[in-house]
Amino acid sequence: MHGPSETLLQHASLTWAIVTGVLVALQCALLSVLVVLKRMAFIGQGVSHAALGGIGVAAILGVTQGPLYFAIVGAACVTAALLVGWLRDRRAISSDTAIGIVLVGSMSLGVVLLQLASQRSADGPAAQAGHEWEALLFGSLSDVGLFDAAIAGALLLVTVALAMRFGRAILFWAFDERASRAFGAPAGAAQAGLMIALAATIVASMKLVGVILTTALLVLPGACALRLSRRLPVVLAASMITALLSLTAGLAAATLLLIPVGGAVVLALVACYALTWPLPRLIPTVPADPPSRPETPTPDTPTPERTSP
Amino acid sequence: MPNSIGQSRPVIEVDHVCFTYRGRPAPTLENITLTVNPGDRVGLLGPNGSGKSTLINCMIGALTPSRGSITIDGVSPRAAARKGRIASVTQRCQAELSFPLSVRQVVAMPQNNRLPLWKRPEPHTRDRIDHALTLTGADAFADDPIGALSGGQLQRALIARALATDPAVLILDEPLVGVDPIGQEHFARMIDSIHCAEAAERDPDRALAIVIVSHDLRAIAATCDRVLCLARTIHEHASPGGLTPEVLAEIFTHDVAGIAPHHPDCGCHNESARHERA
Repeated sequence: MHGPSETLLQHASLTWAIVTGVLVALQCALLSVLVVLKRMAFIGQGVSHAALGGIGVAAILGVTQGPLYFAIVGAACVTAALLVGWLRDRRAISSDTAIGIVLVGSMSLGVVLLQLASQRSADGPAAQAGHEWEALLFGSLSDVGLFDAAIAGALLLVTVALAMRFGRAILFWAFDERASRAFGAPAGAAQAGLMIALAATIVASMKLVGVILTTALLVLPGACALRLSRRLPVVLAASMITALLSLTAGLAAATLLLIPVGGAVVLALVACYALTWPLPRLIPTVPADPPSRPETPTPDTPTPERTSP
Repeated sequence: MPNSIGQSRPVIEVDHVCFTYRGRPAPTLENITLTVNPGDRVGLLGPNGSGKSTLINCMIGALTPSRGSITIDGVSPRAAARKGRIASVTQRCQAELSFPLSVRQVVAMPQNNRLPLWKRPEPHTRDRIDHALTLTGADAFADDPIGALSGGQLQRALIARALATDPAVLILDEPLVGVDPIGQEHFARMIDSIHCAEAAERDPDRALAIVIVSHDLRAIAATCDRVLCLARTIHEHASPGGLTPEVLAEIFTHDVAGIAPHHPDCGCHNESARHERA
C-alpha cells in the first residue's frame, strides 16, 4: 500500500513523536502536581488557549513553522500567563475572572486571525483550515519532527533548571502565598517563574497533544500521583510514571487505530486515575475552603511545663 | 547592638505613621508612634476597624505608610522580613493544607526557601527548627501531614514556623478567636514558656519581643505586661490592669467614630462607630 519512502517517513515521524512525547510528558507531569495542589487547572486551560492567539498572530505574519513560530506562540503564552497574574494582583480581580477574560480573548483573536490568514492564502483555505484546526486542537503525530523534539528538550531543561534553583521558593509560594511574602521570600519571582514554566510546557506539548488537551496533561498525572503518596518526592515520581505510561498507551492506540493522539493519551490518563480510585485516601480530606479559624482546639497535647533556669 | 551607654536598640520603632487606604476619605492610622524593646510582651488592643491589621501589615512591609517611618531592628520592614528579623502569625491560615508536606517541612520553609534544591540546609538551621518545634510542643506531631492537624495543633505549628526564623519580634494576630477558656490557658502557658526559654538563651538586648494583637482584653491580659490601645491613634497603658471598662469605652467609642481626633480626655461623645477596614 505504502511505498518504502512513505513507510520510512511514517517511522521517522513516529520516532520523533515518541521522543517529543516523552519529553513533554515528563515536563507536564512535574508541573501537574503543583497545578493540582494550587488549583491552577483553569490557568493551564487559559494559557493553552492563548497559544491559539499566538498561532493566529504567526499565521497573519506568514509564519507557520520553525523557531519564529515557536517564539511567537511562546510569547503569546507567556504574555497570557503574566497578564492573568497582573490582573489578579493589581486589579484585584479573582483568578477565575482574569483567566476567563484572557482565555476567550486570546482564543477569539486566534480564530479571527487564522481565518483572515487562510483567506489570504493561495491554496484551498477551507480544507487546509479544517486539517489545521484538528491538529491545533487535538494534536498530530505526523507534524512532529526533529525541531519539535529539540524544542521540547530545551524547554524541559529550562523547567528542570528553574525547579532546581527556585523549587523551594516556588513551593513556599504555592503552599502559603501570604506567608511567603510576609517572610520576605521572593514570592513575585516564584509566581513569575511558575507561570513561565507553565507557558513553556504548553508550547512544548501543543503540537503533539493539541491545545485543548494540554490541560489534561497538566492535571491528570498530578491528580493520580496525589492519591498514591503523601510524600512530595514520591508524588513527583509517580506523576512522571503515570504520564509516561499513558503516553505510551496513547501513542500505541493512536498509531494502531488511527485516532487523534491527544484524545488517546487523555483517555489513557483517565483510565489511570480510575485505577487509583479504589485506593484509600492517603492525604486527609481538607475542605475546599480553609476554615476561617480553627474551632475550639482540644488540648490533646498539653504544653510541657517549663521552668525558667 | 547596645549603644554606648548600654541601652539596647528598640526592636520596633514606629514614628508618626499615618496610613490611608486609596479611595477612603479618612485615614485608618493617624500619627502612630510606639516603641517595642527587646524582651517586651506587648498587647495591641483594638476593636474591629481600629487599624490593627493595617499597622501589622505596615510593620511586616506588606503596606507602606502614607507618612512617617517604621524601623524593625534597625532596618526597614521589608529588609527585616527578608532577614527574618520579624515573624508573624495571622488570624486566618491561608495555606493550601492539602499539600503533601509534614509539619517539620512547613516549619522549615521560611528558613530554606532561598536554598537551591541541591544544597542541604545547614546544621544550625535544623537545630533551630527542632528547637522551635520543642518550644511550641509541635514536636509531638512534627512528622504528621500538615493537613491532618487540629486547630490548636495548626496554630502551634505556625508559631513554630515563625520562631524557627530566629526573629527579633514575633507578632500574633488574633490568636484566640474561637478558642475556649481551656485553650486560652494553654496558649498563655505556651507564650510564657516561649518567652522564658528565649530570654534564657539570648542576650538581654536580643531577647525575643512578642506582640499580641487582639480585640479581646482577656487574650492580652493573660500574656502581656504592656498594653497599647489602638483606635486609629495610639494610647498606651502601663499594664492591662489600668484598662477599666470606663477607659475602654471612652477609647473605643471615641476615635473609631471617625471624627477629627481629639485629645482623649476631652469627654466628647460620638454617634455609632463607623467601620473602616483594619
